[in-house]
Amino acid sequence: MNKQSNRRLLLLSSILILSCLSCKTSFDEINYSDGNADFTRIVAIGSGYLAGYSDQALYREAQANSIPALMAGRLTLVGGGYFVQPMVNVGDGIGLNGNKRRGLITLDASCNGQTYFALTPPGAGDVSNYNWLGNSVAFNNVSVPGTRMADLTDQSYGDPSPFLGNPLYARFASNPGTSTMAGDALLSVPSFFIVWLGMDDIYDYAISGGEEGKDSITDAAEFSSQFTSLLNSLTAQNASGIVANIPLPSGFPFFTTIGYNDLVLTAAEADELNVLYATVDPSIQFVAGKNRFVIADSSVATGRRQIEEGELILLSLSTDSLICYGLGRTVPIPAQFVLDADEVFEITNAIGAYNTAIQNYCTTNNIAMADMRNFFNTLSTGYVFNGVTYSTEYLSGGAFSVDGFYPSGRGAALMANQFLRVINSFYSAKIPLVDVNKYPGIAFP
Amino acid sequence: MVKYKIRVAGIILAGLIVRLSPLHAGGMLTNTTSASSAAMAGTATGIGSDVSSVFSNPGAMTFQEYSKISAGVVLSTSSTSFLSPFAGNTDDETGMAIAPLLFGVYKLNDKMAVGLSINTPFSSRKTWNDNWTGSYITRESVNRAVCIQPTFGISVSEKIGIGVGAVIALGRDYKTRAMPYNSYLGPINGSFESKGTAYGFNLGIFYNSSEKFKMGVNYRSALKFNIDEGDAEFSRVPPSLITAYPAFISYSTSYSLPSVITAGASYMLTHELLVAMDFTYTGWNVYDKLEYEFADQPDLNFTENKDYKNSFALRFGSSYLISEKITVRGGVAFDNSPVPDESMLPDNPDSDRFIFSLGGNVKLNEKIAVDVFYQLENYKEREVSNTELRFSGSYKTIVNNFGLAINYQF
Repeated sequence: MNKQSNRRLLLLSSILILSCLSCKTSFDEINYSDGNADFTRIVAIGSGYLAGYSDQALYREAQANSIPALMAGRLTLVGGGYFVQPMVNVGDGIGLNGNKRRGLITLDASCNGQTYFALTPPGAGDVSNYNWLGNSVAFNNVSVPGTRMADLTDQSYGDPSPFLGNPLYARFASNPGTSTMAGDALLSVPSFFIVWLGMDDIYDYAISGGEEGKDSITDAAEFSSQFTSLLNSLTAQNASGIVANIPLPSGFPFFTTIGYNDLVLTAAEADELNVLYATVDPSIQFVAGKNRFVIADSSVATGRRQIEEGELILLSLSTDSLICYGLGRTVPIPAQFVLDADEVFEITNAIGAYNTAIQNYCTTNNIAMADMRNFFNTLSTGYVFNGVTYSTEYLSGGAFSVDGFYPSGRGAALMANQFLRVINSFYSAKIPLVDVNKYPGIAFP
Repeated sequence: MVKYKIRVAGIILAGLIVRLSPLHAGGMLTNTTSASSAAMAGTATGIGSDVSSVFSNPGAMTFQEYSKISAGVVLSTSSTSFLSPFAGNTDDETGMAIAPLLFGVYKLNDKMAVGLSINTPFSSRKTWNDNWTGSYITRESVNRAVCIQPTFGISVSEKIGIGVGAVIALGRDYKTRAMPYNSYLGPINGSFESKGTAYGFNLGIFYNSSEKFKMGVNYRSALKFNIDEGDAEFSRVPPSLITAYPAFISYSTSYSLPSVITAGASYMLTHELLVAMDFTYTGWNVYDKLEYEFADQPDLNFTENKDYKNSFALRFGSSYLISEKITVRGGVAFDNSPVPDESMLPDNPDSDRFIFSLGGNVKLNEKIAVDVFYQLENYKEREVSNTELRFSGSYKTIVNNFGLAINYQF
């Protein structure tokens, strides 16, 4: 071999080596598309679930990670505009009872030495958040914790006078006492709407343990007609959008954490209780192992009975009252912490009727529907995202905040993804989903 | 004097094995088991002229003219990019690593030889940034086995040699990842490290058909690691969870690395030009399920489903004698991935790959020669979805290997 070919070989090898030392593996950015929807002006209309209510309060970090805010963050990639929310002040925010956000603490129950998690005391929230934010901008998130269907068109709902309206709406109503949420939702002339309504019309009742009065379930026909007129006002402006339906109680830790037969007794404890009840109420009996709790029930003569399977005990019942104060054993669990069979039936019935109305409206008017009822069912059996399993287990499930009803940041991200998934398929769009695991979950103390 | 220096170098390199990180090859079975074969895309089994035959086919040891020792080093850079449907592109942070090579053959007489090889036939390693989209699956992962192989070779006829060796494999399995529970500071960090020794054997048969044509078969047995004392550490644990996630806890696990059988042949086309071919079949189906058991805390038990399938590699190599002193080498190979789509994870982002190599040998004097090589491993872009952990996306990987070995014959 001559010198020339030697050189040629050397050159060739150098080129090969140099060419791949600078080889980059990085992927190009993906081209996303808005399909046949227009996201330039988004409006979200709902209650606590869309407002970013979490940990029993409205606070800034949770608002920043509200379901529509997470969606809007993704929609900016396909021409989505600014998403302005009525943010509360930095700090612990304010809840529907004037409380601040609640966190977790560990308690060592002195009665039996068991360690368990409890919520921080419901201290006072930052009432300066009630101050009116003015009306120089039209907000894109017109969602107010506690909102029921009828509140949307009620002028007094934004009245700041004590006990008249909802101060969480009054703070950002365009004209407090005169404007309505339904009207304010149209101020930004939305091209796309995200609607999740009807939750409070049913769950106010469920969370209160089946209290009638202001918490009673809104009649399904009434819900349907108000829902239709709200949606009509949006579509009349040529907006398209997405609507969520209502999940069942079995999809929330609030209703599933304390099982009906979670009263675990030793043989000795069971015997002792049986002796106690033998004279006063022999229908109540205990065995070693799992037992049904004793609940208050005014419809039976003794005023108490053992809970049946399918009836629900609420998370508002404090853990230490079960562990330390004999609730559910010698003292019946008060009715405000229980949904009995009739109440559960009423709730699931209403959810069925609401969901039919929602589904029908969407089908008729060619609007996308996010099947949250189905998603919460899936979540209750475990939903894996990039190696993390989310569920409806209280705290360890990660998807719900410490109140057991409203989502954590990650829960909001999971739900935002359900909306985005449906938008992608319904509007032939290509919008990336949210990276759930980077948002805040439950912070253990 | 020269002899002394090389011996020192050999000792230093042998010492490095325990301290230095292994190769950064994406696939766990490396393509850089010696500097001479790496230059020819891994062909070696049917060549038999290099001292690294002690590893690649000890049946050839007795056909070598001299006793030899070779000490070398491999530098590897591995870059992987992952395209997540949620987080876009992430580049890994694995960077460069170094691994030693050491081979020696001592001819007892014309018919018998003893030898020793130390290299890293199994190695994978990936590092991703702490907060990347797959952090709950892996942050850093190392899995390697350094093999020490004392070997005996014997000629059973003029043309057939057999070699047999004991394999002492020093395995290390290390991984860190975020655990699913968080404190105010972020997720709990978990790290799991096990070191274990496995024993196996290798067997090579070499058929020295003629000056021009040679062939051979080499078999290395599977290596089973039983780990009794793996060390798990959990950090950034919130006080309420310290019982569930103790700072230190031990675990047991076991895993097997596969048997490898290779058949190869070489032919001298001219006095200067040699061509060679190898076919390798690797019994990866032994790498199916890794169970981690925490006797003191069974809630921590977890299983990794690997479900690897048997794989093959086909290699072509060539060498050309330019002058008395200089040989150039080159090769190309196809390495088939054992990792199925459903179980692939970013701790070992494997894929079918093409390997291109270049290198050569320079004789500095009658006793000393230097091998160099460069190898490019180009992994086929692969879009997969791990069904169990719901982790989906596309991977692209490129590996650059550089190597140098100094050979001394006596």
